[in-house]
Amino acid sequence: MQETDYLKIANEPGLWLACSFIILVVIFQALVFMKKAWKSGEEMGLAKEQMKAAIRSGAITTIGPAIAIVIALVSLMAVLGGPFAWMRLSVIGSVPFELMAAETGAEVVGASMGDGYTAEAFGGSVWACTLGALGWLIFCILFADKFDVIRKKAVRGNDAMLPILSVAAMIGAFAYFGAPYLTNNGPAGTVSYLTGAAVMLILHFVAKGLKAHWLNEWALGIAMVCGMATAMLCV
Amino acid sequence: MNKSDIYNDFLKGIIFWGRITLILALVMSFIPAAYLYFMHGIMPTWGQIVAIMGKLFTILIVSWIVEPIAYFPIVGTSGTYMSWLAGNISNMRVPVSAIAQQAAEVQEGTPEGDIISTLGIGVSVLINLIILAFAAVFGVQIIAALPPAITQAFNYILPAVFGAVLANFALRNLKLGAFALAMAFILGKLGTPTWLQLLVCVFGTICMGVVFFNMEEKKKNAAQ
Repeated sequence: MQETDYLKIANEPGLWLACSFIILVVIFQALVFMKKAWKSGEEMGLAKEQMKAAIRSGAITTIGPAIAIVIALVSLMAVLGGPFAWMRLSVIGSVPFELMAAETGAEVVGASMGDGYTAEAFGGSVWACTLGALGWLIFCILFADKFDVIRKKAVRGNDAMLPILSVAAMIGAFAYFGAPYLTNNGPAGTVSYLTGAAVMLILHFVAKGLKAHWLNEWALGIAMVCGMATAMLCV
Repeated sequence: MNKSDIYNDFLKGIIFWGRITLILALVMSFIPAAYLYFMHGIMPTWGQIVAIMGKLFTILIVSWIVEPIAYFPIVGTSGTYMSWLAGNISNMRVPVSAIAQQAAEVQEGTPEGDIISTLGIGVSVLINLIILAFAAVFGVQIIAALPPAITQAFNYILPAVFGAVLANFALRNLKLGAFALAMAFILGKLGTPTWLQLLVCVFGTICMGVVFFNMEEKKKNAAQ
């Protein structure tokens, strides 16, 4: 088969349909979980305003990172076609994982994403992305229900300690995420990082001082935009 | 019903539906591969499939196990099921969970925190899907029409997210923030494998957090 012919298959309507089933599962799950959370939240005495604040801040915070995924999606579509690239970036995994898996699959079939990519290579990529994502699914199917039990045991009945676990985990995880940008990813990344941090702190104090709670929902979104803008000044 | 009964009920429902949806997704994830085989006869040989699995296994086995465990104390049970199905955990779900709990002014790690985190992550899953579906159809034209500086700027969105969230939480606990950042630096400089860095940063900071917590409790008790 000719090198570019596979793109006809990779972009055909049937494949869009084949790729959309799993997305329906993702939507269904999110709706079921949100409905349950809303109901339980009301019963627990959370204010509607608090829950709406969670939903608004979740939506606002998602937009920036989602656009970053869109940019990767467009370049991935050129190789994997629209439907499969769309499906892969909509479920399980992330941009670096899908790139790695798609390339591994193509390599095993004797091709590469940059060169000599054929229908067979596409088949290899599809299988690799699918198989590579299984690990997380299987691990969570088997063990996700055990984590909470372990966490409760770890604090030995002292529930006052649970918040410490979560806050410390957040601090630890974000230190890990951020450290590379401070040490070795070029000045623009560092500037973006520091700007994001500074803007977030300023907005935090402004929100506190003016009692403007709504500002907390926007804070991360604003910090992202400022970080990107200052980074561009250094490129 | 008291609060912990309501929360346990909530968790039961989440685990029930979480399992079902993940199993369904596992099956559905094979539909594109099946489609290529049945409609076009495209499929790697079994030998190639084994080779693919072998390569991916060695690259990913640690991530499959370490990542869900490391992120659980942040996103909780519901967040674990949602994040590993919808993906994008570090760049999207974890920041959303953190910021939603902050905006709703609930304490992280409590039942209320988990409910709020579920709502935040849930809406984040939906919004991301909407944006990506829109982009799958119009993305190529939109990106082509944008000035390159704009698309380039999005390379720098993640450091801003990470800096902002860390600053936010470190402010509430300066000692832990300094400790975690120092550890992340040192591990990074030593060239430790990234999965180990994640594990040590998260659980090392948790241990330090518990140590500080106990020290403060003792101080309180001594003062009484």
